[in-house]
Amino acid sequence: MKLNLPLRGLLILLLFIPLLSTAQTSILKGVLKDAETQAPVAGATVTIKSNDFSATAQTTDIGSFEIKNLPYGKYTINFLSEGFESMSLEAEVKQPTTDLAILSLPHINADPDQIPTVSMNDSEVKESASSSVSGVLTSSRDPFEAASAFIFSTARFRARGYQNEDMTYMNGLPMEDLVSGRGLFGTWGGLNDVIRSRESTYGLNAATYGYGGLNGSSSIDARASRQRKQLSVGYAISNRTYDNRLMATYGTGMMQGGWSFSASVSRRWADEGYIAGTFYNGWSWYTSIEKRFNTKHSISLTQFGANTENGRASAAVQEVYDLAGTHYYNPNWGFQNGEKRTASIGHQQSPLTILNHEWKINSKSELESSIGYQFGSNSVTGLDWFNAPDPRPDFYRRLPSYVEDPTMAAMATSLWQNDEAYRQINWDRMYDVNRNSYETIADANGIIGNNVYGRRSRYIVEARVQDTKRVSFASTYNNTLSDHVIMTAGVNYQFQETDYYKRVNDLLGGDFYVDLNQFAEQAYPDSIETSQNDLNNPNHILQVGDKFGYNYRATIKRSGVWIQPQFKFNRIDAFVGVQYYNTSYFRTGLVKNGIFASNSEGKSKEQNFSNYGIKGGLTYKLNGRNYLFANASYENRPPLFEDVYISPRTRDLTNPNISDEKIMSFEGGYLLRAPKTKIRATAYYTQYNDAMNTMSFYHEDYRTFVNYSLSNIDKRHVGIEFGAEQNLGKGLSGSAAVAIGQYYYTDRMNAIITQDNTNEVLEGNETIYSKNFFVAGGPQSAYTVGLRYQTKTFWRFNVNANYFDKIYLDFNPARRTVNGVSPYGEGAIREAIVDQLHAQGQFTLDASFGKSWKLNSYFKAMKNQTFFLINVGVNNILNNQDLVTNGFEQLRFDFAEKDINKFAPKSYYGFGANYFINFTLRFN
Amino acid sequence: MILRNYIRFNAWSIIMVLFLAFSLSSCRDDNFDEPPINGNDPSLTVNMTIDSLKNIYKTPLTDYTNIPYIQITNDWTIKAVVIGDDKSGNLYKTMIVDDGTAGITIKIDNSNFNTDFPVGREVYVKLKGLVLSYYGGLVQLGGYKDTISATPSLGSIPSSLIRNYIVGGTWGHPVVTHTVTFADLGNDGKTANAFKWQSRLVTINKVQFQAADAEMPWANAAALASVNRYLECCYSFSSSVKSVIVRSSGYANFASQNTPLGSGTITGIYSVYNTDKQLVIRDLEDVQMDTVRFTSGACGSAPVPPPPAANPTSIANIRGQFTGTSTVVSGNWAISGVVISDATTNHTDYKNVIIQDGSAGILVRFDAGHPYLIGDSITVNCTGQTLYEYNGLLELGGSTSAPVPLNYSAKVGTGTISPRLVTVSDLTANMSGTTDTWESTLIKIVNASFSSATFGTTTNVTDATGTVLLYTRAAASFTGAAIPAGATSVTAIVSDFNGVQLSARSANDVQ
Repeated sequence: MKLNLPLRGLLILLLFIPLLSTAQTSILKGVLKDAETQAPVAGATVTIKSNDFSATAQTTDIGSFEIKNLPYGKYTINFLSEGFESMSLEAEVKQPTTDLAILSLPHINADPDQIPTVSMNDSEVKESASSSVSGVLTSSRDPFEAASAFIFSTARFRARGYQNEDMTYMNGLPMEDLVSGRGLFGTWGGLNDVIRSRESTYGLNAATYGYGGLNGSSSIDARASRQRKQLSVGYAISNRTYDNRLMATYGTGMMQGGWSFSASVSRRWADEGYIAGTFYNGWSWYTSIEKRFNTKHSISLTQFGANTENGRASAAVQEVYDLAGTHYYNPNWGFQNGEKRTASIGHQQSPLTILNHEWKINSKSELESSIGYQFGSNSVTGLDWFNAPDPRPDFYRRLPSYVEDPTMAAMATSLWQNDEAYRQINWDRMYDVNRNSYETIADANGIIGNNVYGRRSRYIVEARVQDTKRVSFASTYNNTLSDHVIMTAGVNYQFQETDYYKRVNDLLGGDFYVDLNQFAEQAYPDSIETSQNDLNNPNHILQVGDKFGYNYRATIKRSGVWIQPQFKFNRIDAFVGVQYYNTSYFRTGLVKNGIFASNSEGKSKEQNFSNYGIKGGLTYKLNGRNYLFANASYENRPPLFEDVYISPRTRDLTNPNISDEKIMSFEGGYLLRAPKTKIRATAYYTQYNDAMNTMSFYHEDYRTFVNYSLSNIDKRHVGIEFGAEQNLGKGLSGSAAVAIGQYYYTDRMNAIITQDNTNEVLEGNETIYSKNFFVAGGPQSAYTVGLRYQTKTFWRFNVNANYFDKIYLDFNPARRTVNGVSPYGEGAIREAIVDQLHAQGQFTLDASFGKSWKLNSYFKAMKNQTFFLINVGVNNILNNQDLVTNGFEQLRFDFAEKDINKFAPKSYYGFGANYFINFTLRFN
Repeated sequence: MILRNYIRFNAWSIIMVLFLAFSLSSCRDDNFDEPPINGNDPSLTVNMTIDSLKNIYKTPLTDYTNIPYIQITNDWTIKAVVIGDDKSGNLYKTMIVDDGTAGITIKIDNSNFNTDFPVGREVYVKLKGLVLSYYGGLVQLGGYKDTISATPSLGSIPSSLIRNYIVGGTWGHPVVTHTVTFADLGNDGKTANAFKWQSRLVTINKVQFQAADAEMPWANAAALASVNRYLECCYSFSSSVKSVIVRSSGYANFASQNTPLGSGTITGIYSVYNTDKQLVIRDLEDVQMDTVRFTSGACGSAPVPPPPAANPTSIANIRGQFTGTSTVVSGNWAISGVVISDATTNHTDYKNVIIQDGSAGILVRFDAGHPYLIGDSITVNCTGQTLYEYNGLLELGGSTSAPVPLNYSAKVGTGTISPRLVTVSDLTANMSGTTDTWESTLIKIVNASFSSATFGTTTNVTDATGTVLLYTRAAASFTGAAIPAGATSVTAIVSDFNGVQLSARSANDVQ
């Protein structure tokens, strides 16, 4: 019973709940002012919160606020206002009137609506339906974090080169896909208004809502009572992934009777985004209702939904970009009867419902519990074909470089350059082919003598679907044991079941498709059975909506406990954290594959893992402004489902070298928090050992997926981060941020190479000579300097100059093997095969401005405080179109000729000049 | 308070209405328009036939000592129907097309091209820039001369450029197969008949696999190697006629299945490899061999295939189809006329018959001696036959390689033709240039005198308007016979040998 340990932990926590005592009351008041202009900040939301009391208020026209009937105690006070950074402070109320006097609220560093501009592209690297990007959630407070989230992200910068190391919690629940380890950001896509209320930590710092990740964590609080009391409607136009966004958000704040309610709905759409053939159509909605029963108990029900459909772009080789004359060539679309149609359409819909219980046990302790249920479907469509030429326009055999004869090659070049339709998918042709492809299928649907005659589609649009059900539970306990010790502990449980299958989406003019494995027909010509994808339903005649190809389920359970006491002393703050968790998973084959009749169907052996992590940190306070800090962490981690199963599409075979991943991480630095200057300088070192990874790619000649199952992946991420902000006076301030990292592999990996269509292991224990290769994905170095000017009339101007460098392309492990280089000895050919490619460093320039008007000043009749806000952001003003945001060598390699250009590397380029203009009308 | 709520409510509804309006206005229909079902005929101008193309380059293409690479520089387009594709895998990157006059093999660098060019689809082939060559004697059309390896070869048309040369037309055309015998396909792969039939779809009746090749795998699927299986025929042929090989690829989806034991009919694309005569079946539907085995040669001589059904037309219409070079009659047509030549006197070759249907006449050359007598009314099925001009004389079946099969003709009764009464100048007027309107018709000239006392090759007829040659060939029974003294008239058939001349049927024609 996996739950035992965490449940026991919870029970222990519940036993030690002290009782609550009543208290005297006080009035808390203060005045909020713009830190730079000293103008009053009107209409700001002031939230005051202790373990057993919370209240909200709005600031008046002169920036003042007042909260009455406040019990004595310690409070956290939050200030929230459009255009300003959120600020929180702690105060102790122990007299009838507590006056906080004048509080200065700084302007925000960047437009919080800004979203990373390259967001739909990371498709082919790993087959995944997820197309969301994290980043928006990171706090904007720290100058480095702000730059990392809003400026560096346009170049696909990943803080410290980490992947999926920042844990996100929604109303206390960890939001993570257990199969891939990726965050579930798509769940609340488009609901920017709702996710503003959040806390975050950076690096290894301790958080009060969870153990966190290596790169910190964010906690979003979407409960109705935490939402701003407002009605807001916004419209944005952009030329990025979508062109238009409409968003309306309503919140009641806490009403009489303890009820609060909030709702938001947004639509994002584009007929065509920045890249040709990428339409966008997303609806998102959110509701939350909360009832506070008394000073102790509060229950809320929150529901998120997003239904997003978008045309996707794919990376292409440089030859194709050059021929097409643009770095935004997208091979995924083509003309159908003169209209653009996209073959690769992502669709995501997985609504999430969370029930929260908040229990203020006494003035010092609190227990928050959440249970969530999420179900839904993610899919990506694409072309599939059977005994037909590859229809992809940039298939290597269609490129001029494949044509040997120079005259003919010149003709092909001319076609590519001058005929747009030729560069793209030819839908009309596929319809023509399918409509004239008459065939008789013998013994159809497994019925002997059942001959089905008709137009058998040679080309179809398929959807690769992931249907997921997720249940999660988390409970977090906080107790201020003394002035010096705050104890935080929690238990959590996650269950996930994901079905993976392919579905026929469009027969493109044919009458049916057949669930057969074409390659197996060729590989095993004498066997009728091997070509069946589903032996229980042989020769299955497929119609639109039918499942085919593969169909399996991943079932994953995880349960854990963690505890994290924090200590505060005069000169030193410290924390330690420990977590322990169990993970188990198994594969269930839902069809019996013809080649793998014995190990494709049914439940596999269960994989079980027990893991732990410990971390701790010290902050030495030189004085109120200067801090030195150092944190350390060690953990071991179970390998992911998708890395353990070598070819889950066809069988339950696992990598024989299953190992836990061990991660050791250190960080330390200096922090300055002066009124006019903010500095943070950090150095970090993270060593990963024994990680696993399975990479799959489609091999055109084998007509199947080839899988590289890697183990013994050791890598090191070291680097420094620096961020500074200086108030120059008169509304002017300057900032700079620098990230210089080195992320590289420290050992040789092991590979097992298999393919989906035969039982033979192509290579059993291949050594990958990967030592000192760089970890790819975004620039390893990023620099920005910025200037901001803020007027007393709420104008805001921002300009940033950025430079990105050390952009490495992901390498193909197969080339760094003995087979990959033989028979070449030292020399240029060998070097060319082995060397890792990198893209050129690039310079970009961003600018933005914003302004807010208080409409009450113009329309005296207005009773509510009403604001109109405009934010304009223009990224990459100089229209630099040469910034590679992501590049990778194709996993297919020409072993016979050792020609590295035959399957040349593919890359994505960051958008050229792009803008985002947002208008918001808000009634408080 | 109420007012406040009201205002808020109102604002809220306005926003919602705006929101909906925005959203709806940007909606598009998710259903994509679909292209028309039956493909489009691009209707390109066709100005070449496969037969003509092969004949233009016949000399280099049949020079088996030196492989030619002929790049076509003329703007020629042919229109043909695909008769062989790669659906079964037996053909690989080679497409066979036939336009009714002949067939040809096209090398294209695209596997599974049957999606676009399946058997039965009409294609236009734009020849300009393509290269004509042969492989083992099999004429092939390719993209370029590939000189990358030491031995040059014919490079396939790159898949990226197929659309520049091959334009698909409408789908689902019937594919015609030609019933032939071993002998029809030439004694061996390098003969004129083999050249004529290669890359055409042919059917051979009464065949079986030789004992060693019956019930054997069609090809070597394991090694992906091609295998030759030898046929034998129930009919007997002279020992100089090579038997036909069925050659199948190890990539064919039937490669590991066995050849049939029984006898019957086999259809396939005719191919040659040096002197080998090969058949490439498209799939197992091409093999109908389920009757009992026979003893080779037990059926005697091969029968002549019956002519296809044809509709009647006039001789003038058929003559009108002639384009100036060798022309295959287009359409299924039959002509009928009264025999005006006399086979008993040998005034024309024994395989020839000259018929007239009123205003027009034509010489028909059969593949054998015929039984038709002067005055017989006969029909001749012209379907698939060749119009050919021999030294100015239009002949049906005139080309030496394509005489009209005798069984394409039949006697249907008797009739008479009255000769046209003409002068020599009338004659030359109607037989000048291409307006050979009186060619192969019966005429009579009166008030004439003769330059010689006997029938011979140089006897001239002269009337008041001019002189014309009355040619009597040496083989005629009346050559050297005396022209009656005082004769003043001649009845004869208008003929042509690079100029008008007359042919008398017998000595009685001069009176």
